[in-house]
Amino acid sequence: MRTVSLLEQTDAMLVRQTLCGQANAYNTLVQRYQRQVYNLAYRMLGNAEDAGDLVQDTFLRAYGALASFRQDASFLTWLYKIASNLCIDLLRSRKTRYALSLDAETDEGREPAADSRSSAPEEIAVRGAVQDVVHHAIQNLPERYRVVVIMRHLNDMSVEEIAQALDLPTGTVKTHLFRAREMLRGRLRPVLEMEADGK
Amino acid sequence: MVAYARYWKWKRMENKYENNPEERQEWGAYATPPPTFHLNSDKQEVQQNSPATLCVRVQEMLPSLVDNDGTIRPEMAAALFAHLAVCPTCAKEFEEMQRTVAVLNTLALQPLPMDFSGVIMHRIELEMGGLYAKQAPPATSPISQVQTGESYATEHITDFATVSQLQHTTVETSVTQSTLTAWQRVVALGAFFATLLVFLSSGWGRATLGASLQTARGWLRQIAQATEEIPLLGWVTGQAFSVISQSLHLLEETYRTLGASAMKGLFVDVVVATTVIVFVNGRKSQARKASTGGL
Repeated sequence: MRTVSLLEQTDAMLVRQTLCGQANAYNTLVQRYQRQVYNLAYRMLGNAEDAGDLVQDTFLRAYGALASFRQDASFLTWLYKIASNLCIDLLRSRKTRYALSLDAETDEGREPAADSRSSAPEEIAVRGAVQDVVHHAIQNLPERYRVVVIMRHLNDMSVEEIAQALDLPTGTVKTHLFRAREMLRGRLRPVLEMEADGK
Repeated sequence: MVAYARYWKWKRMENKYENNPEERQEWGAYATPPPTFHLNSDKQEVQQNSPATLCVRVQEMLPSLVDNDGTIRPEMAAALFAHLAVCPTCAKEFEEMQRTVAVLNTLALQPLPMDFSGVIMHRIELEMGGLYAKQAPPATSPISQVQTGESYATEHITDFATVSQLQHTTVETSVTQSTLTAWQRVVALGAFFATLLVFLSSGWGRATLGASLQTARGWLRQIAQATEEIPLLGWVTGQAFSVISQSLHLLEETYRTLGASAMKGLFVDVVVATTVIVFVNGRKSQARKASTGGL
């Protein structure tokens, strides 16, 4: 008889076991998906400390609502839904200077002045890492665009999965993705030119 | 719009029916805006299909082309690429989009600063302890019962018995629950032998049984003949079917020729079979009690 280890068990089985009172099954789920949730939170919030707190809150909230998980989407998509809602709530509630300036400028479709300065080639050379520039450019996107870009390009989710996670129509997700890329293209122009010159 | 769609349809038909591979491969032919004489002559239609409007419409489709999300049909993709080959503005737009996506795709997953599972499970215990009471796993199927039983045994039980014994117990339980009870088995067995008795006690029954066995032998022979071409499997199947066929032949002859003496033989068979079944069941129940410690 084949023994099924915890690592090989499907999410649905682990959820069922958790609901039956086996805490170890939920521990496996946490270990399985904490990195994906952390990365979504890190790119959304911009720093590791807040991302760590958000990972904990996400899994706590998921545990509390596990009985309502209907399994019409994957467990990871459900986690992303919780995490993205928490991220957006946190960003809105803190009202940091960073978020305020973004909301004021990017919601109207204008380019932030500070961002254009930070994307100058000299600045890029000082920072030395394209990833940092991209990270900061994503940070400067409005929340609703940021989450779509992160889910699409960092978490490799399809448009349909993103739509499911964010409770949005597929067309809206595509539109957000297009607008986000357009904004990023403007802000990453020096990087793109550098890449083009490199080729 | 209608005229534009008609133009693409015409281009496809042209390729399809004229079978002109040179034109099919030459994408530049698709890049040319539709000539005005194919369209309605009103100004609105002509303006709608002007080169500038065409670029706008091409650029609307470029994100889907970059994502390759399946919304652009192959022939439309070919047409778009053909346009990109002759339109530097749209080509630049497309190239920048591709480069943006490529840069975004370079974003790598950050390593975890720590393993959060311990903290999370501790907080769950503190803040939501006892939310999901420990209970028997849902009995959806014997397989899930076995799997859940294994994981539960692996996690929680160390001093009572070995995990393998518990697994054995779980399997036994699921099998017993999913099959017939003891008295149902006795009734089924009795019905089977009663039917057999009816058949063997009458000349018609014996002839029917013999004919059935003859038919079965015929089927086996056909299967053996069908597989005899296969090198190893054919030989193995032939040997196995030969033995079975001989046994069936013996039974067939017995049922056909023997009369009342078959009844006596059958009674002996029933007694022997019943004794064996009772003995095996008794041994199984003893072993089950020994493995569970009498619980």
